[in-house]
Amino acid sequence: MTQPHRTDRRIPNAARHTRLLRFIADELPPDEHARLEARLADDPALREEARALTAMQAAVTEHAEAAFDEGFSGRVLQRLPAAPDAPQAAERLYEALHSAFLRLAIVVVVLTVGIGLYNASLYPHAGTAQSFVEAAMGLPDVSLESALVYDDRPDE
Amino acid sequence: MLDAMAAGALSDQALLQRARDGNHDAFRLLVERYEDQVAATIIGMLGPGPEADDAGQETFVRLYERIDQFRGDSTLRTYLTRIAINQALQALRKRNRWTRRFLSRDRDGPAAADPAADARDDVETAEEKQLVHRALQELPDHYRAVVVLRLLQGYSTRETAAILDIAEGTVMSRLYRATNKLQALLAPLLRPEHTST
Repeated sequence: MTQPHRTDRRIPNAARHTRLLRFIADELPPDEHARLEARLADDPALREEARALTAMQAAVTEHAEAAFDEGFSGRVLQRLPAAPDAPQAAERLYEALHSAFLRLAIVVVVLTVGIGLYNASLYPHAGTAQSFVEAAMGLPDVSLESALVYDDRPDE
Repeated sequence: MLDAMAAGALSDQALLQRARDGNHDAFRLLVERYEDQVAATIIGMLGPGPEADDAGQETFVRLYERIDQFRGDSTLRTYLTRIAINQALQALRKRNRWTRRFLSRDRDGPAAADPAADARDDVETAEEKQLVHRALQELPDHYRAVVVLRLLQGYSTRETAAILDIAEGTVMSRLYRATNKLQALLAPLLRPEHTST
């Protein structure tokens, strides 16, 4: 006649308890799970320990509250920062300014090049420029001497 | 405006993307999809009441503020649980500071009732709920967090460890101590004649 297993007192209480918790959560490796299952079948004290743990878990799960008061999502939405619209407005302003400045820059570049070309085309025949670059930039002949000496005599 | 039927079929990722684009309806759907999940975590930690409601709202506001940072490395459920548990622990720290400051030292505060003694008188369903709630409140905060995640939410030991950023061994040792205490506190509910009915 086989004697039923007695709860294995060689295993510390904490280790046995946590092994049962892992068994209930189905977290033990298959071979260890099978061994513990076999022992549970033979050991009434261990079976009672497992039953108490399962009952405790069921009591906690069953009686725990899991709902906020009505209208929770509305309360959350009221607390959201108005940030989502703000970046969009800022982004739109940035794009508008970017576009306006780009157009203005194109106009300035075209005008500068046009005026430069016009000045350069006059350089060999007229004006006071001493070089092509001065002519293109519309500069008169500027030197320290001409800046300091004011000559108001009419050209002869 | 999102069509309710179509919105229900949208994945979390699709709703998150719309919420990132500033669609509040999409974010509302995410809140409605996960509010019970967050409620179980926070009410499990704090107990029901305005404090829990506020921590729940703060959880979703935090999600909204960090919505661009969520890359989907974990599920949205786990991500929200992590925020919720941190919010709850923060609220508990605030509560404990307040309690220490304003209540006299020889009182344990509102959770000082003896759940087991109360339960001896009455084990009706409403009272059982009260008993479980008060038993949970009797646990130290960090033990309660493990119980809420591992037993109440059904996370595995590994997931619980990851959410709380502690070792798996620590999860099991806290769970061992917590379940020992809960078994004593909930003794009236755990008798075989009670659980078999």
